[in-house]
Amino acid sequence: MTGYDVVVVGAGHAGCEAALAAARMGCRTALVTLNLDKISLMPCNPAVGGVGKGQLTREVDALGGEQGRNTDKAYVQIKMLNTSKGPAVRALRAQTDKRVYEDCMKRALAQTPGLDVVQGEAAEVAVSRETISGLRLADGRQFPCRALVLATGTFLNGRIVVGNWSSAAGRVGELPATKMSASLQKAGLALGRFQSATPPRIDGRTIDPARMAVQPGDDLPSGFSHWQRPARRRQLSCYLTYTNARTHEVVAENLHLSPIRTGSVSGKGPRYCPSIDRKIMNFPDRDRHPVFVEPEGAGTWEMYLQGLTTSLPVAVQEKIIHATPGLEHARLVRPGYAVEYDFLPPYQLSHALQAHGVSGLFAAGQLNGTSGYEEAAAQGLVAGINAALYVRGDPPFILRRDQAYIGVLIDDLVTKELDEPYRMFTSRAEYRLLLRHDNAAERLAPFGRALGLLSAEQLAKVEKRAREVDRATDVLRGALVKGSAANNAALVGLGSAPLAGSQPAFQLLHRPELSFEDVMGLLDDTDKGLLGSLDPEVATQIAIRAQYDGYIQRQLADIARRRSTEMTMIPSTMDFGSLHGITIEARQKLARFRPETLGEASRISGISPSDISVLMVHLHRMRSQAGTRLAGRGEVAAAGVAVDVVEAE
Amino acid sequence: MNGSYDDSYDVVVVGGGVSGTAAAAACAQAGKRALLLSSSLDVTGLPSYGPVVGAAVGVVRRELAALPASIRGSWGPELLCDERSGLVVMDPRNVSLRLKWALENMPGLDLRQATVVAVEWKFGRGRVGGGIEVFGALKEVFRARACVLAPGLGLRGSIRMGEQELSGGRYGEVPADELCDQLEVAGVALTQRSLLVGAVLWTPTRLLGLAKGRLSRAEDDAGSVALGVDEIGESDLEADLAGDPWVGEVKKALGGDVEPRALAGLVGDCLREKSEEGGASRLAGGAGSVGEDGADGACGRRLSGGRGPVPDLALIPPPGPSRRVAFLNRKGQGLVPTGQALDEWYLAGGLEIDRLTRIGFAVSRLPYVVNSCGIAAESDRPAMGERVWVTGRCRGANTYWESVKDGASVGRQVVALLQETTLR
Repeated sequence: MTGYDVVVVGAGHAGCEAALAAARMGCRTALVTLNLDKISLMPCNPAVGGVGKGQLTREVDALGGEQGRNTDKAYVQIKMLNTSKGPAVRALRAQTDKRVYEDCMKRALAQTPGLDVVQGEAAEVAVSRETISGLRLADGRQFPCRALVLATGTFLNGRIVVGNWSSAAGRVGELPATKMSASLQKAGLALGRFQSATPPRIDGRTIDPARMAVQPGDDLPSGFSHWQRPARRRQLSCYLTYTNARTHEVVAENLHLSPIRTGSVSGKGPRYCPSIDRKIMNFPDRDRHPVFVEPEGAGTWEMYLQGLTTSLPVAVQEKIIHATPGLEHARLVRPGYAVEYDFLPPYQLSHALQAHGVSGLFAAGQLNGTSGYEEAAAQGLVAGINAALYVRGDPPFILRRDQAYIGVLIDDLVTKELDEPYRMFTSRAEYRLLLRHDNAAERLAPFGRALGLLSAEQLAKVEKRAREVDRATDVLRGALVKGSAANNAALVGLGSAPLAGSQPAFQLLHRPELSFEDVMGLLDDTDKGLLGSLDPEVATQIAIRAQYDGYIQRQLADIARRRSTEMTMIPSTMDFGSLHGITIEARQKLARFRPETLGEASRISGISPSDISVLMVHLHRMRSQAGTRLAGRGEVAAAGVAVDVVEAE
Repeated sequence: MNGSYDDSYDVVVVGGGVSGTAAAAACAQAGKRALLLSSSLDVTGLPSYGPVVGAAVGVVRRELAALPASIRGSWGPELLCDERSGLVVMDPRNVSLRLKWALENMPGLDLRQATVVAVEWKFGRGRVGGGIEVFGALKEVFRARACVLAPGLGLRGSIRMGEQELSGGRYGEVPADELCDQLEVAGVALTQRSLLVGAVLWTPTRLLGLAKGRLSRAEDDAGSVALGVDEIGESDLEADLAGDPWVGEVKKALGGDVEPRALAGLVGDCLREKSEEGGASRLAGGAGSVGEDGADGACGRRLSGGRGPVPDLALIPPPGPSRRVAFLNRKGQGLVPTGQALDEWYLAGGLEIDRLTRIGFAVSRLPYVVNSCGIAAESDRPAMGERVWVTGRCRGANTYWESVKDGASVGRQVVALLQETTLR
């Protein structure tokens, strides 16, 4: 059997990105999956994006990943969320046709030279001298390889649960992977147990839309991808309804049958995407919860009930559905269920998503204790990139918390203890005004290009747009809006104060009550001519820049201030056990997470500022003793991809 | 139905594979309320053992017309043939997508995901007062006047693939062991020879790589990824291929009289019929008479007086290329395209794999052998009592085509039985 540079196990949202990235970076890559008919399957909601998650997908796209492009190809509805709120929380969300999504991803895989897909059950990792040497399949095939990316989703010893029934399965109807867990444990990795769940599906023709709010898509949808606009097509609507007292009564009456109560689910489930059982238990005072009814695709009438996730017995599931307004006559097509699976607590991974104890072994996606297609794709991309860099012998690619949501995601995973599946939120990013949906390409395309995942033309397009934003900003800084009678009448009409003298247009953009178009209407003809016609995305960026200038500057200053601490490297040989003057808990935590910088150390839960001071002093002493300069993380990462660190804005 | 969910059916079909879908369609087309149960709706109707239909061109063309409309409309447009060898092939994935959509849109037919663990026929076996109860693993109960069993190779299915032995009728899927146990224990309607061990199926190897070979070659020529097989025009496909060095390599590797073949369609009447029905797909892909009842109007259709017209396949422009080339000799041996999105090829007729992997093909799926229990049923008689019927692989159908025909035929027989039965 011929060897590969990189083998990826699992062809879900993490595995596909990992395999594509590694192959595109020139590695001979194999993608091994239990079932070739289920590549890139969306086993839960038929959607990509949303607040926090959408930013991840944009970042994946800006780095040359596939998820954004694939979503744009398979969409049945696209919508920009939070348009009335601040730019940091604006995000795109798309409903997709699940089957088309799979087929588009398969095509992307098929068209990538150097990438083979293989059907089989990954059974054993071959490790020699703490280094990956290959993968063995249950059918006996051996795949020697230099790097291995595990992206097994919910399949490791997966077990699905409905009511008091349970059965070994990775997803409903599919056999789990039963051998890999033991092999990982033998290699010295610890495994935990998590749980996730999916709601029932119903026949879309049996709902009553008149009793729900119709949620259409945007008229002229912008897509996730920076590189092409989505094709225009007629969009499908979603429907919004709410549970009511009747629904809650049915759940409450049957809570004793819930796997959460009966203990037939032992793994920890997501607090942030709770089942309806859990919502009723935890929020008994709430009199309603939203339920979004979403199409599963254009080629099916099946609809997904976001908000009614449950693994209660099927008869109860039907009662819950029928008690909800608009769903009184809904016909159940697929019951909801919970799935419990082994996960790899990610404190055992480095920021490159490589296992501390086994070089060449990378892990991504739900296996690392996350939930969501977007979180999976982001990790898959990073793991695939780092597997390829590892094979080449190059330093790893690591994004910082102030550069990308991907940086926040991975930093959180490897420095914090997960007690439930991790999901991205904008609130997790301290620099969210810098990490916006609209500037993902400006932030990350230079990395994508340096890694070989984007073409020179793609980068040029991004740079051209950035220059256009700068140029137009300059024009607007110079363009004076006069306090003429006409202009002041227009301002008053828009609910804004009149001008005494004249003011630069850019300054007027600070006024929250004025839209970009409003201000443009006040320009004189010369300035209008100077400005020319602007791409809507350029206009958005200028408006955000104007309105949030102060905050953005403050965040940038904050980053600069923290950088010296953040970037101080802790040598990998550091013996945390010998640190004196810190608590025993801190010592244990440090030894367990093995932070690589002071910044990481400071984010480990249970590590206090005083522990950090002790560590800082200790590092200082080590440095003066050794007389060596300790490189900062930024330099390492930049060396790996040979680009300067780009600052947002 | 007045929009209310009535859980009592005329017929419950257990198993959503090739024969189960045909049986359900036949029942629904005759105006019966039918329920199709499948343990995984994602693979409804999936012909999962490869792209070769298993009947000669003439036979398929002749028999296609006799199938229920939704079955004909799902298989027909996917069936391509090589006139010289007589082989009929299709893309399994596309057949499955079309079947699921067509069945969803059949008035009187409901689809539901459920793993059936038991089938019980209440109140004896007579023609009066009989009733069937089908039990799901999640304690669901479905009631009907008759039942068709179409479990394929799922009854105590076990697979041997390389060194691996695992349960399942299809690789990676959970087998229907509980149902098998129950049928055996129930005994009542099973004759002694009803359960036979011995339905054995062998799936050939699948390979990846023709488009990839071409893509990487194109990359050498032009410095960027350019074309795949799909981009070659159909008319001069064979002429194009004749001068292609990569194709020459494939021919040499396959040896003998294997030639690249442009596959011809069998689409004719099926396509005409579809356009007459007026495609009311849920999305406007640009063309077609996608009426006002697209997105929003579609919902609630059943509430406001029955289901609408049978819509056309509603996929957003079908993904992937329409692959139209195979490498075959006169005996039908060679490489047949399957899984067009993934660029997979199926090795028909026991040719040597080594010679193909040497020129860049990679094995995507190993061949495997399935052993499972079958249910003995005399050709056109019910197997277990009057109201439980059996169809497809589990009673000996060997090819997709036999399964489709058998499913449709059993469906019609069930309808006939129900019609002569007076009592509901």
